[in-house]
Amino acid sequence: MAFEPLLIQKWIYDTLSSDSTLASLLAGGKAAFYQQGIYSEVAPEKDSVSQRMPQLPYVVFSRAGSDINDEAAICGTRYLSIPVYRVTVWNNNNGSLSYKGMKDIIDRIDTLLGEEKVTDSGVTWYCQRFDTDQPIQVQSDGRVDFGLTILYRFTTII
Amino acid sequence: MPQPVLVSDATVEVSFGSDPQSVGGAGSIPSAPTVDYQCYATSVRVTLSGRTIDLSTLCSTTEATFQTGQTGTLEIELFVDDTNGPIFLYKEGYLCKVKIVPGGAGSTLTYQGLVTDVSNSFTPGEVERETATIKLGAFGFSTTYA
Repeated sequence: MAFEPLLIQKWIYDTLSSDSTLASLLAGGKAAFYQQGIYSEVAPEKDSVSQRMPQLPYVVFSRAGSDINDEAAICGTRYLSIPVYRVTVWNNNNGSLSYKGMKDIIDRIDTLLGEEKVTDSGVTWYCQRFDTDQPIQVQSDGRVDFGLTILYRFTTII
Repeated sequence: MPQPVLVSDATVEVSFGSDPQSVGGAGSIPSAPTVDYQCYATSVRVTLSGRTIDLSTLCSTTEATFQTGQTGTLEIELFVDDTNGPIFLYKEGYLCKVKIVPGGAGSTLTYQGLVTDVSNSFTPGEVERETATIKLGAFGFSTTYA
């Protein structure tokens, strides 16, 4: 496996997008899985399930660098690599910010990803919480996009 | 144009005596290393040094250093394998041979000595590692390398 982060990226997506509890939390009063709701890198212009603009809240995850440079064993074919991924639950509001509801979503994400050890295609990784963040983006129309973020480090042996 | 030796596919093999040196004495000499640890080893560092005395006399114009023997240390760091576990744990006091073939035109040497220090690191979220120090040359060996 030359580029194992793609395996990790697929695992994050498969794990989050297949969980019905998370889907219910993201749906709010709507039906679970009414939209994809889990997006890699950026939210698309049109959701592939609902065929509409993605509705908040939703989850975006993306690579956020590495914790260390890859470390090689003397044989040259075994590596230790620690890519870091950022998982953010996004919401928005026009007035005061409230993390109510979002906390349950990020807690569920942490239950699904945190402390998980996975082996896939000969690559083994261990997912561990690395840091947290609370991003806020004020838009020109006064709308405020805000989120809850957990960064995960994936200690990976190839 | 000279080319440096690029350590890209080196081999590292290790063997231990069947008994600790304190039990088997000089007879606890391990066989030639055959067990392959190259994909566990992340670094190997060997230092050889001459043990010397000063034979200077009153008429000496320089320090008359004389080598009486050879000593040295080999330090090795390894990932701990999930299936096999640490290989140096509880091996302090054992005679040990470490064979290294760095690749390229580098010479193949088998270092031999006594395992004196072993350490294991356990850090949350990190891979387990072990390091060992082998004091080269030991009771039972006449040289530090073969």
